[in-house]
Amino acid sequence: MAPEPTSAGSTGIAALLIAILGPLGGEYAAIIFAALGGALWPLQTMKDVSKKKGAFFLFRVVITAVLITGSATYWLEAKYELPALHGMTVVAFFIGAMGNGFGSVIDALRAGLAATAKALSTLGKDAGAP
Amino acid sequence: MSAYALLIAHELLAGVLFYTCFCRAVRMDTDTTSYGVMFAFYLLGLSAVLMIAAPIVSAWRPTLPTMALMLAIIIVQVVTSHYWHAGVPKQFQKVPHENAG
Repeated sequence: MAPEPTSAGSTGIAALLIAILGPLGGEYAAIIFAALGGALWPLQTMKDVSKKKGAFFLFRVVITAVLITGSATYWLEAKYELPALHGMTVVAFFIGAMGNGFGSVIDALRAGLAATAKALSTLGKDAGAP
Repeated sequence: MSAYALLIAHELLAGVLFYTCFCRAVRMDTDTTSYGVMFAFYLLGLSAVLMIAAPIVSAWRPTLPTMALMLAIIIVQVVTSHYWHAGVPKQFQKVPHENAG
C-alpha cells in the first residue's frame, strides 16, 4: 500500500486537480480555458441575456471548441506525430471568441458550396452541348 | 498554510472573480455599454480564467501576494455590484456620439 503523501510537490498538486476536474482535465485543460476566455467577449456583446442563458452559451461554445480542437489535436498527434496542443489552444481561443458567429461562417460555406455545385453543373451542360 | 490549501483557496478566489465578471458580462451589450468598459471587464474576466488555469496547465503556483491582490479585486467587485442591479450603470453606458458611430 502506498504511503500517504506528506509533501505537496508539483506533480501531486497537478494530479489532485486533474482528479478533481475529471476526464475533461489533464493536457486538454488549456483548450478548455482558452475557449472560455475567448467566449467572454461574445457573451458581453449579446443583448438581453440571463445568467442561465449566459452559462449555457459559455458551455456550448466551450464544448464546440473542445470537440473541434481536441479531435484535431488527437488526429495530428496520432497521424503525423505533430505536437499540436499549443497551437490548438490558440485555435480554441478564436473559436470561443467567434461565439455565435458560426452561423455566418456556415452560411458562407453553404453559399460557396452551392456556387461551386452550380458552376460544376453548368460546366457539365456546356461540355455536353454541340 | 499548506500548498494544497493555498492552491484550493486560489482556485476558489479565481472562480469567484470569474463569476463576478460573468454577472457583469450578461448585463452588457454593444448597443448600450461603452467599448472601453466592455474591454476592461473582458480583460478582468480573461485574467480570472488565466488565474484558474495557470496552476493546472503550468508549473506556476499561487503565492500570498497574488491571492491578496485577487481578494482585493473581488472585494471591489462585490462592493460595487449593487450599482449593476438595474443593468449597466449610467456612467458606463455609451454617450450619444458613440452610438452615432
